[in-house]
Amino acid sequence: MSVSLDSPEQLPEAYRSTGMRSRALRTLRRDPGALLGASVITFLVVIALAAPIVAPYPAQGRGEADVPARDLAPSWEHLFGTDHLGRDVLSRVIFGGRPALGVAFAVVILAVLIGVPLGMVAGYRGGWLDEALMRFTDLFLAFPPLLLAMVISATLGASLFHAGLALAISWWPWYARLARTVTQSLKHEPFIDAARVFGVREPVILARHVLRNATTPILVQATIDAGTVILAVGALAFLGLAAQPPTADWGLMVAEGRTTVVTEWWISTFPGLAIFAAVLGFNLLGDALRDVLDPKTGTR
Amino acid sequence: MRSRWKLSTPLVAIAVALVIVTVGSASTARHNSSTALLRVATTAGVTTWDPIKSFSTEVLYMANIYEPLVYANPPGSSKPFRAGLATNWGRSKDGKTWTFTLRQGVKFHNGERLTAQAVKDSIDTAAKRGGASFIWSPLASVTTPNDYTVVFNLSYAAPMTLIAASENGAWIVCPEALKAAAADPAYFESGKACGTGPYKLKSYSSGKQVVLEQNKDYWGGWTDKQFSNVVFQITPEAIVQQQALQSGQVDIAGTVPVENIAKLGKDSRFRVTRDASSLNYLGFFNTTRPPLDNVLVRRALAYAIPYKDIVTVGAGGYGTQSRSAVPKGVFPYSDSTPQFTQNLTKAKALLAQAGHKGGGFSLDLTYAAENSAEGRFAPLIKDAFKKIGVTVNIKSLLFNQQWTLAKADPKAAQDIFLLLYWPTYSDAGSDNLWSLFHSSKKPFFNLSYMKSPLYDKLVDGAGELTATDKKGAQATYEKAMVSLHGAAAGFYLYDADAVFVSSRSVKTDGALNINYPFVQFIYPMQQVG
Amino acid sequence: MLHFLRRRLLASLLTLFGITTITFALARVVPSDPAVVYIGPLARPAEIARVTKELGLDRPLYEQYVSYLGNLFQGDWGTSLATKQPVLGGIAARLPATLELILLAMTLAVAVGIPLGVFAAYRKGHLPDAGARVGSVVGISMPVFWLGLLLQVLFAEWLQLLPAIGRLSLETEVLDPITKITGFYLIDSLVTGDWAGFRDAASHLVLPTITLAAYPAALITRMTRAAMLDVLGQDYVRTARTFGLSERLVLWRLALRNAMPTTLTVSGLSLAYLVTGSFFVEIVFNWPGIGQYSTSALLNLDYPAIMGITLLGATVFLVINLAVDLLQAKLDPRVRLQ
Repeated sequence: MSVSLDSPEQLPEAYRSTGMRSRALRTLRRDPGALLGASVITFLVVIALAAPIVAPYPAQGRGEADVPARDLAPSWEHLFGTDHLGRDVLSRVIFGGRPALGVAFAVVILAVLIGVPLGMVAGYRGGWLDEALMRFTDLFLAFPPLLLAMVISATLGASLFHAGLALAISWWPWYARLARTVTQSLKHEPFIDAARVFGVREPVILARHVLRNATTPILVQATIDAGTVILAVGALAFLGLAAQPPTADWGLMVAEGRTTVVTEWWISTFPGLAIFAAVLGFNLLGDALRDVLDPKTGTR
Repeated sequence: MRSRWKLSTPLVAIAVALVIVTVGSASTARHNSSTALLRVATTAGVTTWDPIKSFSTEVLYMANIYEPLVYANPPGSSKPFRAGLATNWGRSKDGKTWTFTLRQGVKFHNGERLTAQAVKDSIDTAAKRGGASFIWSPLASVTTPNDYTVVFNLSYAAPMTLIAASENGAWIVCPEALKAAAADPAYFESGKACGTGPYKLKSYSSGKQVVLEQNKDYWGGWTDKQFSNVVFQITPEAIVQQQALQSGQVDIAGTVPVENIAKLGKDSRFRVTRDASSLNYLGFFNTTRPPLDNVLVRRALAYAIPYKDIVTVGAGGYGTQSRSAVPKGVFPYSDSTPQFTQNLTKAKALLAQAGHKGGGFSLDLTYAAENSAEGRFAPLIKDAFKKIGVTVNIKSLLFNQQWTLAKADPKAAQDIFLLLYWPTYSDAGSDNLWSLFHSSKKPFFNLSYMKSPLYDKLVDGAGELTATDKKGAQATYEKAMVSLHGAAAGFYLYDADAVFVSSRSVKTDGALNINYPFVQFIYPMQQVG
Repeated sequence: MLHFLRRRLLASLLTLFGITTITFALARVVPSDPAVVYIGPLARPAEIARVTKELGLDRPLYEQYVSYLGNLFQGDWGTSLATKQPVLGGIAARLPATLELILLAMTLAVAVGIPLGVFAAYRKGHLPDAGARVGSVVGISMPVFWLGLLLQVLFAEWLQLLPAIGRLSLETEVLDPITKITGFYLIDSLVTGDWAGFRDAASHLVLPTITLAAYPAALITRMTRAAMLDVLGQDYVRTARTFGLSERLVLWRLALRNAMPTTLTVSGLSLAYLVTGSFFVEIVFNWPGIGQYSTSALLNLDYPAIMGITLLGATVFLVINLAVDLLQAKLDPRVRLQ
C-alpha cells in the first residue's frame, strides 16, 4: 500500500483545487507507462469478460477435466500446456482473470463505498465522532496486512467470497483515513466556507464540494490498491484460503502446480505471470495517474 | 564518478558475499547416509507422547519405540500373527478367556523387567483412559497367575489377539512411566518415552524433528547393517520432502506427491517401496435428504462415478478400486463382493426410472480441505454427474469442520460426504462396516445416516462370531456387504497404497505392514553394501 | 513526549484487547470441534466428551474468553490443541528463524533501495533512472510466492547452485549443530568460530532473503527516489549548490537527510509487510519459522495458536508504528506528535 496520509499538511497542492482535469488527461494519453498499464488492464478485463468465447477450451476453463491429456507440455493444441487433470492451462488462465479482477474491483469498490463516507463525515464534523472513527480504524489497521484476512477466511471456511469479504474488511480503514485527511484539509477552504454561509446543507457540501476534490487521491489509491488486492487474493488462494478447486484461480493454480514445478513448469509459471501482468498494469496506471495529477509528489 | 562508486559499493559487497557463499556451499557436498544414521522426512506430527492417549499420526514413532503383545502379519503369511512381547497365546473354546505367555528376559528402556504385572498395568490404563480405549470394551478383567502369564477375561467373545496387536491403545509401557503419568498427566509431553522397542526417544523438537537412538539391549538383537540412529524431519509438504530426498538431505521421503512417484522410481538413485494399506476413500449419500432418499437415485449416481479416473488422479495409480468399505487384505474383504463400474447409460436409465429423467437437481459435496487427493478427484465427480444432468457444488472444509457439520443435523447437512477411513485395528467388520453404516441415534461416522435393521442385524451377528467362528463371521459379513451394495448408501472409491521413496542405499523390506497404517518400521531396514 | 507515549500505549492496549476479542470470536463461533483437533479424527464419542470437559470447552463462551484473558495477563498464552505445547513456547522457539530472515531481508532492501533511489533521482531522465523505475515497479508487482518458486527452480533445481529448502543441511543439524546462543545461526556460528556452520547457514539464507527483500527494496527505491526528487527541487538545495558544496555532500548529507522521513515511513511499512510476506517464503523454502507455525495453526483451526500469532503480529505492528512515529518526530521538526 502507498504511504498513509494522516495530516493535511502532507497533501499535495493539486488535490486541493480543480480545473486541471483536461490538461491531465492529455498528458496521460502521451505517457508510455499509463498507456501500457491501461492497455494491459483493458486487455485482461476484456478477455476475462469474454472468457467463454476467447478460451480455446471453455469447459476446461470452468473446471472440466480430461484425464488422459494430463501434464502435456505446451504445444499447438495447448499453448500453455495442460495441468494434472488434463485441463488446458491457457483457458484456465483466461478464466482465472474473472475471480482475480472481479474480487479486485469488488473489494476496492466496497472499501471505497464504506470507508469514504465514514471518513468524510468524521473529517468534517471532527470531535468525538472523529476520535471514535480513528480508534475503530486503528483496530483494523493494527492487524498485519493479510493476517486478518487469513484468520477470517480460515475460520469462516475458505472460499472466494469469504476471502473477498475478509479483504474488504481489511481495506476500508485506509479509505476512511484518506477521506478524513482530505476532508480536513478542505474544510477550511474559502469555497466551502462560502457554501456554508449560503446555507448549503452539510450532506450536500460533502457530496458535491468535498467529494469532487477528493476523487483524485482516492482514484489513485484505488487503482494501485486494485493491484494489491490481486496480489493478496493470489496469496490467499496459494495457501488454500480463497477459491477452491475446481475453480480456475491464478493463485490456486500456482499452488496446484507447485509439486511438479521442476518438470511441468508451465502449470505454475503462467498463472503467476498473469498475476504479475495484472498487478503491473494497475501499478503503472496508478503511477501515471499520480504523476499527472500532482507532479510534485509523483514519481516523475 | 564519485556518486557511482558510492552506489555500487553495497551492490558489489552483496555480489562478493554471494560468490563466497556459493563457492563455500559447494564444498559442503551432499553426503550419503553416513555411519548408521537414517534420515527420514515425514508428515507425521506428534499430537501427544503419551502412548496410552496416542491415537494419531505419532503412531509412526510409537511403533518403533513401543511393542504390543503380538504383531499381526500381512495377508498371505503362513501364520496370522507373530510373536511380539508374547511368545505364546491361546483362547478358551468360548472365546471369553485368552492367555498370553510372555517373552522372558525382556527389559524396558529404563531397565525394569517385563512382567505380567507390567502388561496388566498398561492394558488396564489403556482400557480406562486410552485414546483408543474402546478396543478394550470386551475386557472384563486382566489377571496375572504368574510373572510371565497374562489372562484376559472377557465379558463377551472377541478376537483378543487382533486387538492386542493394534497400533492404537495396545502398547506396553514402563511401569515407572505409567506411575509418573498417573501423578502428572503431562509427564510424557515434553518428549519422554519408555517402552521395550528397538529404538529409544533421544530428542524431540516440537513440529520439527524427532530423533531416535538404538536400544542396545533390545531382545531382538542387532546386526551392524541396521541403523543405530534415526532422524525424522517433520515436513508437512510432500513436495518439500521430495526436494529433500533429491538433494540428498534425507534417505527416505515418507510422502511424495503422487504424480512424481513414477518418475522417481525410474531414477537409478531411488527406490519406490509400495504395499497395500488399510486406508480407503469412500463417499456417503445423505439418505435423509430427497432425492437421495430414493435408492434408485443413489444407484444411478453410483453408476456415474468415474472410478478408474479417480484412482489415476487421486492416487496417481497407486491404489485399487474398492469393493465395499473393507480394504483389500483386511478381514472380512471378499473378492466376490459386487462393485459398481462407471456406466452412464445405466445411470441415466435409473434416474429416469426414479422419476428424475435428465437429472435436474443439485447436490452439495463436502471434502476435507487438507486432503490433497480428495481435492484432486472431487472435480471428477462433479464432471461425471454433470453428464447425467446432476449439478454438484463442491465445498472444501477442514475435516474438523466438515465432520462437525455432518454430525449436527442430517436434514441440514451435506448431500455427499467424502471420507478417508482406516480401521483402528485390522478388523474392518467391527470397525469399517459397523462404524460407517450401522444405525446410531446420533450420527458419528455413519454419515449416510442409513438405518437398516437387516444390515444392523447382520453386522452385529458377525461381530459376535468373529472370535469363535471366523468363517461364519466372514460369511455373515459378506451378506452384509451385499446388502450394503444394494442399498447404495455410499460409494466406494479406492484402497490407497502405502508408498514411500528411499535412496537405493537403504533396503526397506519389512518396513510396511497393512495392519499398521502410517507406520514405517525402521528395525528391519538395512544399509546396502 | 511522555504524555504522547502514555496515550499511545493506552490506545495500543485497547487495540490489542479489541483484536483479541475479534479473533476469539472468529475462532470459536465457527462450527468446528476443538476437541477433535486435540485428540485426532478417529476418537469415539466417549473420548471426545471426556476431552471436551477436560479442556473446559463446554463452558459458556464468555467464560472461556474471560479465563483466556486472565491467563494472558499471567503470561500463559494457552496450549496448542494440536501439539499440546504451550503457544508462547512454540512461538518463541520459532521466532529466531523468522527474525533472522526478516532482519536480513530488511537490511538488504534498505541497502539496495536507498542508494538506488538516490542514484535514480540524481540521474533523472537517464538510463539508470529508467532502469531503477522499471525494476522497482516490477518488484512491487511480483507475487512473492511465485518469485520464490522461480528462484528455487532456477538456482536450486536447474543450476544446483544453492540449497532449495531448510535453514541448515540435515548433516549439520544432526552431526555438527551450531551452538545455540541467540538462535540466529549466522551470529552463533561466527561467535563460536564454526566456519562450516556459517557457510551452511549463509547458503541457505540467500534465496529466501532475496525473495523476501524484493518487494520492500522496490518500494524503498520508489519512495526514496520520489522524496529525493522533491527535495532536490527545493530552493535550499539550489542555494547549496551555488555556494559550491560538492555534489556528494549535497546528495548524501543534505538531500537524503531531508528525504529520510518518507523513507522511514516506507521502511516501517515494509517491515510490517515482511511479517506476513515471510509466511509465503517460509512455505516455499520450508523455513522453520513462525510462518509455518501460523499456517498449520490456521489450517487446523488450532485456536489458541491462532490467537497467539494474531496477538504477536498485532503487537509487533503496533510497536513498529510507534517506533516510526517517534523517529519521524525526531528527524522532522515539522511533525508534531499528537
